[in-house]
Amino acid sequence: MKNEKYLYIVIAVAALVGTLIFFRPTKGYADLLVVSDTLSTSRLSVAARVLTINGNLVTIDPTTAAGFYSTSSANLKPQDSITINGGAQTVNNIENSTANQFTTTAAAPSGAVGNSIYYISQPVHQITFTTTTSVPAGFFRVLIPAGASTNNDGNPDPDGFDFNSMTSTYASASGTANIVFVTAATAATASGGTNCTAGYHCFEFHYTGTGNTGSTVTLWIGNATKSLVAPAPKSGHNLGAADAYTIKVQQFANASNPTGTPIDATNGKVALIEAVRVTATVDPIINFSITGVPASTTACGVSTTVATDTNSSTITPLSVPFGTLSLNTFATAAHNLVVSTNAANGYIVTAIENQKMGKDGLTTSTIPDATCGATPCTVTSAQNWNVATGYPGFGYSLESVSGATVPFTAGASFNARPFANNANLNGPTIIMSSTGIANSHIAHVCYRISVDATQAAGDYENQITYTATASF
Amino acid sequence: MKNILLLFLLSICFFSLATKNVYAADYGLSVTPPLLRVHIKPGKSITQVFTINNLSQGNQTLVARIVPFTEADDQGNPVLNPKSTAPWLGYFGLANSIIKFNEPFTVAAGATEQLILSLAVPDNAPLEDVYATLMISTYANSIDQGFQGAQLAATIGSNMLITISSAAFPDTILKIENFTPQANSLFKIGNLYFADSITPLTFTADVHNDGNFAAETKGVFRITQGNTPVYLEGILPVNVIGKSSRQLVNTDGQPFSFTPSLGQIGPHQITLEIKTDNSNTSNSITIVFLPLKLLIGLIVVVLIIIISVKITSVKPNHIPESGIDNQKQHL
Repeated sequence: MKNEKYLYIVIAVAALVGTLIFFRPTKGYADLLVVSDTLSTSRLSVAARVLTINGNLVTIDPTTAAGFYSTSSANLKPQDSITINGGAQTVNNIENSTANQFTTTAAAPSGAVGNSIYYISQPVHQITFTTTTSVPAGFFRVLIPAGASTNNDGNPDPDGFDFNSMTSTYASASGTANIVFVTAATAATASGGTNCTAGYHCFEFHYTGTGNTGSTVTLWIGNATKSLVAPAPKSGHNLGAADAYTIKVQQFANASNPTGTPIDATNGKVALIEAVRVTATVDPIINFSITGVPASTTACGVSTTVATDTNSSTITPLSVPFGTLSLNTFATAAHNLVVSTNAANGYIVTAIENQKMGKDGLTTSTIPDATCGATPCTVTSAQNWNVATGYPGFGYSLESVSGATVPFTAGASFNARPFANNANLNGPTIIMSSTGIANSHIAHVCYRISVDATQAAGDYENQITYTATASF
Repeated sequence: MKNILLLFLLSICFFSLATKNVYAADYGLSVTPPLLRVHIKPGKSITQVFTINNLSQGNQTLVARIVPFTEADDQGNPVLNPKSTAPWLGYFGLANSIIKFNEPFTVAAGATEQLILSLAVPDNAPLEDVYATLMISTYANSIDQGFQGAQLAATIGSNMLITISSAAFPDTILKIENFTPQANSLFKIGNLYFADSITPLTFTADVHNDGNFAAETKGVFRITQGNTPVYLEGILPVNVIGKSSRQLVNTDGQPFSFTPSLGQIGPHQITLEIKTDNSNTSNSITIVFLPLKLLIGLIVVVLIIIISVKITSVKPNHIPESGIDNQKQHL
């Protein structure tokens, strides 16, 4: 009796196991292999609400509402294009002192409490997989999770991708010799559309050819112009934790019902998360350089006759070595002045000479400051100086090479001025400037000298001081 | 033969070593920060590091000094007089062990040096703004008697705007002046400006600091129609030192500009508002936008139509009835 009882138990267990084995549920299809959906950006969109707007300063409502679960500025970065209540704005800066404030480049429109703030992230989906079944002239179908409502208005949804009025134009595919995609047959259907059950956006990629096993296929949904809008944070989203979504990749036989059972299919996951904002500090700085210019170089509209670019016993850095002068003949030299600054208000470079060029650096016998011509040039007024005879002196002209603003330019006739003279109690004059940041602004300073027969023989020199300062 | 070869090699070595190096004649220096804004109470002291970098290909002998200034142009550039002095220059010192003010020091090519500037304000210091530039200049202490030409000295400066005050926000008195629109199609009757409704306008304005302390121009340029703002633009924050004026510009460093749309007709108030920590200032003008160009265009079109109609409606000269009769009789 006891043995009989054990026998019944064994038979019952065996029957149960046999039933489970025999009637085990089957998928009805095989798996596509190595399926991956690589997003061009894994950045979540932003769906937030206005708490206050004060000029350019926007404060995000730190509380959530249906559809709006972005409660901080963590996923924004400078230069992001956003919309506030439908109006386009650009993020200027993220206020690090608070978690939910940012500024816009232009004053934001006065916003009512609760107005929407959207940043739209449009990642391109690159889906790759390997086929396991040889299906002639079939098609692949990709299902991307869609938001439950308003999932085709171009705004981010908190529970799936927004279709963003996509068309098949924005989808493409790459196969093999046996899987040749037919662009004209590609289909893109929003959730709930024809042959596209609600809950997923559907993309079909039809091909010709015999099909093959082990072929690597790549499908792209979206391109640089348009793509599905990535979801905004889900309800209950934790900052820094990814929101995951399941995509489906299916393979069907030719002319099959896309809503039916596929031949092969595999699910994949995509995860979206806030962008990591990388910050760095660049110190404010001003650079000032002076470099020499070789002889026979065209500067200020003339060819220089004196080199300032080599260092030898007679030519030292920071000098204009005119050497021996011929009477009533111009000698011309030049320097490059280069200024870079990230100071917001720009820079100026001023110039002043300590005195007229004096014999042995003294003041008893001097080469006059340039008068330029019949109408004399002055420290503040330039005149053409293209005749050496009758107009001896030492002066300069300017030419903006790149970016710099100069108070006058040489032109075709060497428009020139004498340097401001400290001995005459002149103040330094601005020779180069900018009212904004400057990236390698370059100007030529061209020196010119001429002496006549009345000039006493000797060595003449003076000192010119250039000063570069940032504007405040 | 061996000796000749040895002599040849030695000759090569000698001439190689005797050859002078040729350098590009250059100077390059950077300083950071280029602007220092300090608010300090009497009896307190601070330290600020200025970093200088020799960008030249050769070593540079430099000298650092502080030059006070009291004036600036409307672009924020100090009017510097290297010979000027001020009693408060003694507040400044260099905490470096080797580098001192007005004494030369050398920075190797490509190297960086720090100037550790200390500012110690005595308890009894007058409450005022002091403005100065830390100037770092090339240094030469000899005159080459044989040199013919101009020697250059190069200086790079960092401006310092220092407010000495016991109050957190010393009084600032800013006034917006010379606020005027600029456009060809603009005329003024009384205090009202009249402008075309589709022609871009630019606006210029200055701000004058009547106070003794520097202030920063933070604010907005606003255009309103009725009470509704139709255009907003930020003002570029700039420092206005005491008793000086600055040109006001937008955040791009350009004059304020506004292009009205076709429908923006009627009086508009254009306002500049500046807010400092303890005071506000504003200045407004009123412009009436009228569709002047549109009206002129319409008038011209109407005139053309009228003239065209008149020309086309003139009947051709016909022969008088009597003439026809005469011809008939003649036939």
